[in-house]
Parts: sequence; structure tokens; C-alpha cells
Amino acid sequence: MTKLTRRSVAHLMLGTGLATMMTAGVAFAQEYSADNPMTVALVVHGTLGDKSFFDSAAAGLVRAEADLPVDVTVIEAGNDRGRWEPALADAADQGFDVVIAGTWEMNGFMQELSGEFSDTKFIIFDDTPDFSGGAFPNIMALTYRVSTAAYLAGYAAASVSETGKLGEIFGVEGATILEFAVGFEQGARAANPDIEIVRAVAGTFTDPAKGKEIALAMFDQGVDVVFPIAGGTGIGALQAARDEGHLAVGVDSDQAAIFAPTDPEQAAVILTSVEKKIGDSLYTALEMTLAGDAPYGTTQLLGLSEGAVGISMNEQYETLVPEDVRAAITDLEAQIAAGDIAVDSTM
Amino acid sequence: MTDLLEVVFSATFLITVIRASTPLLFATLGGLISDLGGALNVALEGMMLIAALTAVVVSVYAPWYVGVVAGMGAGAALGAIMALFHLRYKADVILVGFAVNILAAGGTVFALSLATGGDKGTSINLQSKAIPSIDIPAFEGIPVLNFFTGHSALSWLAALSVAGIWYFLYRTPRGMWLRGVGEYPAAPEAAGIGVNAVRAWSLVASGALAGLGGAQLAMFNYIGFTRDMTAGRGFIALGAVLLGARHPVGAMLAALLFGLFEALSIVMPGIFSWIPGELVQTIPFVVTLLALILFSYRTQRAERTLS
Repeated sequence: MTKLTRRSVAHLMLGTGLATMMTAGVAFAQEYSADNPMTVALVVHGTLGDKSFFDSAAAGLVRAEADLPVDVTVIEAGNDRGRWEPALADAADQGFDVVIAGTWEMNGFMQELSGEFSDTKFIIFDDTPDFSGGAFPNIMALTYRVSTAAYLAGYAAASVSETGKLGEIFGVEGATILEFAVGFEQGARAANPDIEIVRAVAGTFTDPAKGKEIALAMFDQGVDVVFPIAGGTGIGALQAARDEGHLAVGVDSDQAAIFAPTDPEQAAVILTSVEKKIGDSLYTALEMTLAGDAPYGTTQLLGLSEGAVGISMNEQYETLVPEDVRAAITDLEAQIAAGDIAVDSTM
Repeated sequence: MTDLLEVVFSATFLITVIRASTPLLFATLGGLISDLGGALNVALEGMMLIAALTAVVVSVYAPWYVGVVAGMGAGAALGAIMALFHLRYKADVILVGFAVNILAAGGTVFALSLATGGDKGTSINLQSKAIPSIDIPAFEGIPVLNFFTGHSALSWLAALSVAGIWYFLYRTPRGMWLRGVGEYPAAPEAAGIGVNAVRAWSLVASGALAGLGGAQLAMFNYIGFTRDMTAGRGFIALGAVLLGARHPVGAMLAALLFGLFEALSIVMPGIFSWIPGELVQTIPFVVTLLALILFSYRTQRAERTLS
């Protein structure tokens, strides 16, 4: 109850603040302080504990709460699709200053709500609405050029492959998935022009048994490094790599680090992971929002140079990838960030 | 094309087919038993999912076979719950079945987070055990005989179950009761057979079989549990019951057919990279549709010749 009162008081103050600073506009952002924090809601369409996407987003917001004058609430909408839109609408209706959600599955709902709650700021990550013609001035979209990081992983994978054959496993053949694939393939060809790359589509993100079968079949056909981009289905492919003694590239978050405490054998075959640093990018977005210079109404395309994507340079990477290859990758990373290498993209 | 034939006639491919078919076969047999008893079990999916999680969590603390038995027990318990609501409280069996499925989808995630200490996606921080495969070293490298080595212990159990269920249904009095209850309940009732008791046991058996399928999925096909890992197999099994002409041997053939096309869809992208992946995935469903059309056409023709 106290919280509610505090929030309404905060709103009153904001309201008067807004009225006096109408012309200044930008300046009102500086109203936030430790006593009057900016309220932020993250609407997770699923549950936390996915060890990937949502956990990364939540971790970034927890860090923001510690460092910045923001008050973060994480809302888990659960796995029932029917509850996702109401959860987002509730968050907007509760008067949070910033409402955050992710992926194409929430994008449409956010677009519908943004008009009705024009005072609320919305951040969508990993997808973007169509901003042309000045539409959605209160939404900021964060998209990730993962192809730039996948390029490095592809280079590493092709360098360590002994058979010269790599395999990719897709959850579905969609733009965000292919964004990983095009970069990975381009990087692999840069390391070895004769590399052979096999693609397979699982058609599901929740079937580890199928992912494992696909990876086993690939190993049977001479592939020795797999790159599953398929959520839970991909976990099965990682297990196949462990059982057959082949290598794999992780996706979205540092998957070797996730397995290391309980399943070191599994961690030991993941040579690196292509990371989308959702949490870091949300932290930066909130920082910019507080400073008042966040570009709402536009799409932010974040890549290697912004530090929003990258590959995991962990213990497994240092063990499995030879030193000269690692040096070459560090070099390539600098060239991509500087724009000397143009990496393909589906964005 | 020769590449494909080479792959298809290899022992590895056959082992893949058997491995992919086994969970489906258990679920199909489960669906068959309850369907013959007159209670369509749409909860196979949820039962498999709950059994998979139970098997994984129990196997962390106990030998693998205890995990399998626990999975089977979880399925049987869900069957008993369905029987209670359907037969005692007269709820519609389809609705009760869907309630079990919905309970399974959310309940397993909740239980998983309790068991793993907050992880709601996978059980990777649990050291769960695997069902051993039965390897016969003497058969390795010998054509034809090498088809019989390297299968999960539960695959053999599934094959035995087909024979056992066939014997039960067509050679024992209780099997006839079960079929009678499904076919025309008034007759066994007049003969003094407890129709509800027979149906209740058929649901319990159905759950136990689905539970074995879940255990195989989470302790052999993939070792561990992930959210929604049954991925529709329980629903495919319902189709396989019909495709198998509601007969145990037919059920086995239908499950093998699905397993065969699943395995084909897995090896084909590596050989024919020009075929879109989505198209390959639709093959099992197109085949089912064709088989069902063929099946109903044959039944209709048989009926026409009778009348």
C-alpha cells in the first residue's frame, strides 16, 4: 500500500514537473533520483530461468537497479500465449515509466498499446516495429547484429574442424535465426574457403530428442562442429556432441559457463558461444533514457562495436581454439568493429 | 539418391528409427488400451511429460530402473486421477484429459524449478541417469544381425509389450471384457462385469504405458528434462492408434512409420540440401493423411460389399 501511495505521489510530482518543463522537454528526464526512481517493468513472455534470453535481460536490469536511479519490476507472464498481451497491458496500465518486452512475439502487442499509453516509454528488444512516417514515437527498438559475432564463431569453428564440414541446426528458418547463420557461414568461409556447411531445420524449439538426432545424423555424415540455433532443441545437439566427442558452438548466452558447474564434460566440447548481450544493451538503454538522450521512435542496430554481441572467450575457448586462431579472431573483431569487414546480415 | 539408399540401409539408420519410434510406440499402446475400453485418452501428452520429469528427478537419487518405474507410476497415477474424475464424478473424458495436459505444461515447469532450485527451462544441473542400451558385441559388424544390437532396454520392452497386449486382448477373458466394454457396454454389464472398473483399469494401464514412453524420451533419446520436451508426441500417438487400425500390431507399425519418417527428415537435409526443411518435416503428416484416407476407403468398400 505504501508503495502505491509513493508511486501516486511520484506521479503527481512528475505531472507538475511535466507541466512546468513542457517547453524544455528533454530536461524532465533528469527529475529521477534515488528517492524518486524511474519505474521500469520487464514483461517476460515465459518464465525466468531459461539460462539465456530472459535471464540475461533480468540480470541487466538488476545491475541497472543497483547502479542507476531505477526501480525494476519483473513480470513473468508464463508460457500461455493468451496471457502475454494482458500482462503487457497491465504493466502499461500500472503506470510504469518504462515498459520492456522482447522478440517478435511481443512486438505487435506493444505497437497496439503504445498509442493508448503515449506517456509511457516502451523498449522492445530483438525486434522492431516499422517506424516510418514517425510512427511509435514512444517505442525504442533494440536489434542485434549477431552476424558480426557469429562471423567470429564461424571462423573459430572452421579453423578447428578437421573434416572441413560444419553443421547448423535451426529452430525455425526465420530472420533472427538466419542472422546467426549468415555471419557464421561467412566467417567459416573466411577461415577455409572450401568448408562445407550443412543446414537442418528442426521446426521446434522444445524438442531436445530431435535436436540430438539431427546432430547425431550430422556427425554420421562427417560434420565435426555443430552450431545449434534452436533453444531447447539445441540443448539436445550439445548433448550429442558430448556423447560423440565432437564440438559445438553455443548460442545466445555463454553456454559453456552454464554447464560447467554440473556437467564439465558438456562444457568441455563447447568451443565458444555467440552471445546476445541483452542485459548490457538494456542497461545502456535505461542509462540513455535517464540522461534524456535515448532515441525513442527509432531502431537501434547494435553489433560488435557497441558491445551488444560477442563470442565467449572463456576457459573452453582458450583450450579448444589454438592461439594463432585466437589472435586472428581478435584481429578480425577489431576490423569488423572498425567497419573494414562488411558482414552479411538479414536485418 | 544412392547416398540416401546407403544411409537408409545402414544399421545406424535403423537404430535411429527404433529410438525415435520407442516413446511413440509406448504412447500409442497406451492410447490403444484406453480407446478400446471406450475412454479416449487425450492426456497422453501430459502424462508423458509428467512421467519424463518424474523419471529424471527420481533417477538423480536412485538407479535408472527405479527412475523408469517412477515415470510409469506417475503415468498410472494420472490415469487413476482421470478415471476418478471421469467415472466417479462423471466429467467428460476429453475435458479431463485436456486438464491433465494443461496441468502438465505448467506443473512440470513449476516442479522443475523446485527440483533444480530455480531453473525453469532445463534440468541440466541435475545429474540424471540414462537407460542403458543393450549391446551384443557378437552381432556387431555382421550384416542383418547388427540390426539387433545397440537398442534401449525399453525398446525391447516395447516390442514385448506389443506381443503381451495382443495376447491379453485376444487370448484372455479380461481382454475380451475390455473390448466388450468399449464396443457395447450394455452387454458386459448384463453379464455382471463392472464396466467402470474395466474402464478405470484401462486408463491406469494407458497412463503407465505413456509413462514408459516419457521415461524413454527423457532417459535415452535425450538425457535430462526440458520444458515441453514431448513436443506433440502424445498427440501423434492418438493418430497412430487410428492409423494402426486399433490393433496392437498395427499400432507398432504406425509408430515405426512415424519413426521412419522422422529419421528420414533428419538425414535428408544432409543429402538433399536443395529440399526446403519445412517440406521434409511435413512428410510424416502427409503420409498419415494418405494412410487414413486409404484406410477409410478400404473400410467403406468392405462395408459396401457386406451390405
